Amino acid sequence: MKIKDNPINRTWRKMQAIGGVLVLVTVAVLLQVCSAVQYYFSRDGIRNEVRQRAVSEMKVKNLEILQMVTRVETSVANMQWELEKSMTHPDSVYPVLRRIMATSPDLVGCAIAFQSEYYPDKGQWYEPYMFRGGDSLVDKQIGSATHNYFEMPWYTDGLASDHGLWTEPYIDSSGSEGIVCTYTIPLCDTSGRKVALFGADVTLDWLSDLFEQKEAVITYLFSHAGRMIVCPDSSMAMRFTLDEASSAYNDTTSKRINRNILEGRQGDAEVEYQGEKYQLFYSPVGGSTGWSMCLVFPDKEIYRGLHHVSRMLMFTMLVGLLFLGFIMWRTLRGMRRLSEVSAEKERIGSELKIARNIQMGMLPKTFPPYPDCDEVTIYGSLVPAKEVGGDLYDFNVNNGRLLFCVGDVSGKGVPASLMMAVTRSLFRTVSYQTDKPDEIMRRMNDAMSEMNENSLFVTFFIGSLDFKTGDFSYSNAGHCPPILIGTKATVLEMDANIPLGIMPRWDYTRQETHVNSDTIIFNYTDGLTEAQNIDHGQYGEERMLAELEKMGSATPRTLINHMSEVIHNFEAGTEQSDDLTMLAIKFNKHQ
Amino acid sequence: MTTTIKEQNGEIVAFFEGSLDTAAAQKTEKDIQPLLTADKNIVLNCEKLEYISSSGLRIILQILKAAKPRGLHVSATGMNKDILKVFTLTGFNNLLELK
Repeated sequence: MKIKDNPINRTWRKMQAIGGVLVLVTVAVLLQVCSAVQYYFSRDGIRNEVRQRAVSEMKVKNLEILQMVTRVETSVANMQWELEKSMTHPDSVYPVLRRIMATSPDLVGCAIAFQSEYYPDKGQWYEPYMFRGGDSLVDKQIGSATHNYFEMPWYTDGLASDHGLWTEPYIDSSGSEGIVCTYTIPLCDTSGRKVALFGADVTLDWLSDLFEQKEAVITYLFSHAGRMIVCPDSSMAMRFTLDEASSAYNDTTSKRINRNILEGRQGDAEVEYQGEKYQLFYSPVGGSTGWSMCLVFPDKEIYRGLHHVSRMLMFTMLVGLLFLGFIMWRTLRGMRRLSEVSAEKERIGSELKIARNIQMGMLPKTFPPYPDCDEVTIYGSLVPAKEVGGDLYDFNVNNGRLLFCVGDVSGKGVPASLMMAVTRSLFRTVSYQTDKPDEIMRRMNDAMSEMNENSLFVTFFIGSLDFKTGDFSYSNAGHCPPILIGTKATVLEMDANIPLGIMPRWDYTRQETHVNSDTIIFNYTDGLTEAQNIDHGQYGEERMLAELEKMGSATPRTLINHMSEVIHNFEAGTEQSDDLTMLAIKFNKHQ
Repeated sequence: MTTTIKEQNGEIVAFFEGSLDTAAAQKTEKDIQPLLTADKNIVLNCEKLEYISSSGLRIILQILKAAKPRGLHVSATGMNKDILKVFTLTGFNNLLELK
């Protein structure tokens, strides 16, 4: 069933569609806001976590370096007195150097660089050196014109200082080619004059293990002067300083960060490089070495998990929205269909209501119909089982005769009601032409048989009562015979004639009888005798006759109202199964 | 209400069982469709038919109307007293042979 597409319907549909889209958009926006809030807070949390991780990592690294530094500084400090004591003879320093090497596994070598001609017989340069050559310790005098240490900064700086100093890290040119750093302390002679510089060489190769590079975090270690000891590209280590490496970034932020690192400050910053953001954390490490380390976390790595979760969330939301849209579409479609169906039902219902009014309008419904006619009292009632029905009755008074009819169209509902209307019109038309019941019957039958395509037929009774004599002539087309109610209730004698509309040219018979005064001619349709109770039992003729006999002296109106009530009670709990029609005519003639 | 249609002794026999009232009429109207195109004499077996309403009579009328132009004979058998009364009252006894 589909209603015509009218503008109101289209507007309604459009509104529904817009409503649906609005709901979807609202849900989408809400979900987006939720995920944005979630993203923001997660990001904040992750950033804090990264900061804590950076701080703790720098602490751990600092401790590792400090341990080494402290070990070296302590063991050197412990041996200082012994060293100074051994300087009385140029060769007596070797055993002490050997002992230092043996007790300090951190050292790769150690040396004492003496002042020019401290031992006159050793010449201008004298630098006894002890280093690890394979499994054993090797000693060597390395001071010479080619190794003129007097000009070297470590020597001049170290001698100028009153305490131990860590040199800048350098590449060990004499042996391993590894990175080495030297801890120097000035040595004094017995008079307290600084005459030599002791240096303990420490390899820094282990730092590259300590500062293992990972994708998620890049580590830098800078010397006091800013040289890169550890950096992600190992080929650049020791070759460039911080300033050189970052020379491409000349902006104030970069400069400030560089300065902070070089001045041994602690801090953090966010920098952008080639469109990618990085979180920077820096802190001084290694105590007196003056080193600084810097951890760099790429945002890409920090938020990798978060971005993955966000993408999954986005995908899930998209699938959810699609699903929601689908459900809404189905629901809307269902609702639309429902409203279409109910609108259609409503239309049919209202049309049926109108049809019912038209049909009821065809029946005489003013009682008494002839107030100034004392001879007869008439009352009729028709209750269709559905909105419209196929029962009918009619009557008219002409030339001192009452002509009346009762009929029942086979079937119920709309088809029966149309047939009823046709029958009622035919009766009116034909009864103007003749007042003989059998003749009316014949003419009606011929007319109806010709047009009856659907095998609908009508059981019909026509009676004609003479007011003066009480003579009653009638013809019956298969209808249930009327009951004459006087002192007793008797069924009127009937010939067997077929209903109207079945076979043209059927010769309907006419019967005649005499009706006494104060007799009721009770006409009905089979809706009365065939009324069913809840157990599908039929009311039946016997019960009807007994009930009618009790009501012998009642008026037609009282009688019919009583019978209606009786049938209504009999049918209690069920639906009225057939149209119910009653027409009672009381002959009042007093002789 | 059930309607069974069988061929017996060169005739088509329709067995009606139950109450042929208005409610059952629609289904029965479908069930008797083969009778409307039959080419043999038709027997309506009413031994187990309990009740017939005017809607039921309309179906009998349809069968009669379809059979007439084909020159087929329609008869009904085994009617109980009530149904026989309905057939007599409505004159249907004039339209088909009651056995």
